[in-house]
Amino acid sequence: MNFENVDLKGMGAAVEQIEQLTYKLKELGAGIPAVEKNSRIILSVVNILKLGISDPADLINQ
Amino acid sequence: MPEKKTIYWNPFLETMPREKLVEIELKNFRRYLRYAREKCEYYRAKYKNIDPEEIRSIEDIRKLPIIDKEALRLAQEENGFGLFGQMLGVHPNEVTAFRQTSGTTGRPVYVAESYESWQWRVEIWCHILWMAGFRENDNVFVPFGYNVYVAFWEGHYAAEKLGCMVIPGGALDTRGRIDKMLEVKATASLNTPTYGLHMAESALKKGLDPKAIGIKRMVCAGEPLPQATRQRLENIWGAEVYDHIGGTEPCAWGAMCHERKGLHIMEPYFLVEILDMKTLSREVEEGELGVAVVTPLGRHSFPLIRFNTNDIVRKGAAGCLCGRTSLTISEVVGRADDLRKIRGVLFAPVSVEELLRREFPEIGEYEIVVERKGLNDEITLRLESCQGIDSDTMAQICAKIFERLKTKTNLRFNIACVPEGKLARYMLKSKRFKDLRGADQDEF
Repeated sequence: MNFENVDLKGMGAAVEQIEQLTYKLKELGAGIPAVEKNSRIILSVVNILKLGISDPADLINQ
Repeated sequence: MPEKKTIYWNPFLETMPREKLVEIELKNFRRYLRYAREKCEYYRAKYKNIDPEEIRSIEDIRKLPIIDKEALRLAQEENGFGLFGQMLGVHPNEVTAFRQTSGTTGRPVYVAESYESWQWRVEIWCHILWMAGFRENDNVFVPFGYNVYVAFWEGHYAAEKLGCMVIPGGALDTRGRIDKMLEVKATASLNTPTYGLHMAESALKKGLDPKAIGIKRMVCAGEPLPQATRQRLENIWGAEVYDHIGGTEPCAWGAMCHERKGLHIMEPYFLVEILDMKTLSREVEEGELGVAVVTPLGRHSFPLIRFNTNDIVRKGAAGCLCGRTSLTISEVVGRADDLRKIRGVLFAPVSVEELLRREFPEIGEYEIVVERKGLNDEITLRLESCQGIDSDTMAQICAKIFERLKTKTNLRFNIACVPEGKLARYMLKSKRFKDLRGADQDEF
């Protein structure tokens, strides 16, 4: 499999957007358990994507 | 568009050039150290004079203190810090799961999981299961009640994340589990090596060839898995059997790919040092034995920096035919706290398992007992035949085992045969080695 054609930088940027949007969602839904708790779960998974996608993408960007 | 099928869970990390992997590990180490100093009482005190920004190389990391299980126990006994003592790295309200170590070597260590830290562990296990060929069409049977022990919880959640159908087989006896595996058409399982052998033995007693159950992949956890035991499991189940290495505190940090020749270190999620056993100060060379000192770079709820796992491993090469670039370990020899000096000879109980499983298929269960009689150590191997063979043949086999053990271990064993079914069977960690000499034994 050739990974050179994969847009890693684009994926890293998408992860960043999801994170920002989730923080915004959490802020908008402050005090609503269904929003706060689900936002936290999204952020936990975003953290995994940051380690697995954003970190390698950052190396390419350097 | 990339191809849909890949042998890698995360191709970017798994095939990354080594120098880049090391770069990520150093960056993550600094970040992790900063986090631990800020959020965890233990490191706040211990590392107050250390500036994370000054960590620029592995050599710099080598200057930091090593923490071991006893230090964790002591830190948890400190008054005024709650259930997890000084080791907690998140607010107590963020703890979502309680786990603990098995307590084999002393008081169990309590391990806190936050939702975030748990997802990190599950991701590691996704790597392990993917490497072992688990895919969304697998029906994964887990023949245990998981209780407070972590490995099968991790495997369960990771298999779900892969999209497998997971069947928890806790509240059943062994026969019930075999029936359930047939009923749900299980294709994969997670179990201890001992229980894998026991299930096969039970199936055979039922007149059922274990191969007919349909398990194609098995990941073993909870105990060492010598190569000979792994091969015996593969032969008896007709399945690919995979090993991994890890523990409750740091998570699993090494696992087997489809080549099944040694274990890949799960870089860059972990920084793993394999250090000389006497001084713990020098990274050993490829082919040498050393103790694994592990830093899990994403364990925020329970930060561990340079944790001495006590696992004795042989350092392998970087890279593999599978294309992964991570460092490898070629052999797991056992735990340092399992090694004993008997009559002045260093003895690893796993060497007996390796010999029996490789050369003596007639032998089923076994147990090793060391006692002090007068001034001498006595070591006895109690053996069970697994094929109902006659006493003359068994005597000949025992004589052969005596000679092979003498050559392999430099020890003269007393060999005792016991009736089939007499020795204990284990589901989780087996206790086949019993040292009854008390505290006056030789120090390793």
